[in-house]
Amino acid sequence: MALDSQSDDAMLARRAAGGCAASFSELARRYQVPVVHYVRHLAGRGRADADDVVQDAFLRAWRHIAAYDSRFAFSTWLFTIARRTWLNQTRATRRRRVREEAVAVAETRGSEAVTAAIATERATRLWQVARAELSEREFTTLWMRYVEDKPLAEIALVLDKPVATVKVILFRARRRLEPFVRDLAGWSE
Amino acid sequence: MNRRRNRREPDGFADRLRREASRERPRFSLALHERILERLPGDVVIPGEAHAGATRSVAARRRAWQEVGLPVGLAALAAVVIAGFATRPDPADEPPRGAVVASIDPAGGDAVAGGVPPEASELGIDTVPTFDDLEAGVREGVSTLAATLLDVPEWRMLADFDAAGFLGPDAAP
Repeated sequence: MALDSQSDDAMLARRAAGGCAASFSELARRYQVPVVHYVRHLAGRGRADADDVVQDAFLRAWRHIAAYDSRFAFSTWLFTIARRTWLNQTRATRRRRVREEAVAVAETRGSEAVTAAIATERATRLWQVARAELSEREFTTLWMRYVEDKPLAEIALVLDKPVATVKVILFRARRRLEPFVRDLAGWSE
Repeated sequence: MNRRRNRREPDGFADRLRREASRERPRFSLALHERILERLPGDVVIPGEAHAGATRSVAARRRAWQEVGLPVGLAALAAVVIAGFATRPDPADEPPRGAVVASIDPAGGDAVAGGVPPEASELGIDTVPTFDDLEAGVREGVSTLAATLLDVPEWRMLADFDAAGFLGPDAAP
């Protein structure tokens, strides 16, 4: 089964809705990496926890595959499920954990004595800083916009918000993250 | 003017975010893929014969037992217990089935002969008490318990009560 193009996603989803596990397996193979990438950065903690979220997200997708609307990208639907799965599992403690892990990075903000080594380390942790400083909604908006190259309309689906709201969230996220980005080594590259 | 400038994306902002994300991009994990697929058949809820032969995972079997088997089993157990308590008389008081027994007529105090029809003590739908029966039984039990605890005398006994003797010096222990 040579199904490689994005347009085949809808067909695979239809087959999966009819009970074809092989079709869903192909969809899971295609989108495992982007979903894992997103969830690991969103979770900002143990890899095992993130992988559990990914597994549960794919299982939910399998159970509700018939509800997928093929007018939108399958990946957008998957990201939506992954985000909600993570929110459900970590709603109570996510703020505290993320802040604990990124506190060392956040504490150095605005310091005049930032060494090159620290700056380099911070550069590699830009998304970790973003996760610590931004709300989950802002983080997801930035991620979908700059990493997944999603149009605003699809980001609105992931967030379940109007497009106008997504624009505001994106603007605020950029403004809040910009001071950190300016301090990063190699900003002018 | 400032507002318009703020809306603009800073130079290199998007590139920086993309570059940072790509550094930590994970590789495809066959193990994770297999773990996902292992759980698919057990979690299927789509009707149809496409999954008819699929084996269910341990977790799925456990879930099925918890969601269906456990409630049904508990309900059946509760029904049996309730039916048993409601229909089974005290073995000490139970006469032999179909036998003629002697008892005291509560109205006249005379000994009467009576019997228990064989079909009356059979456990069946006819012998399952209604809610009215249960309610009456509960009320009777509460009344009996209250009377036992309070030991309320009957009015005809109060008429014969010797208050002077009760309160007199001879009544002291």
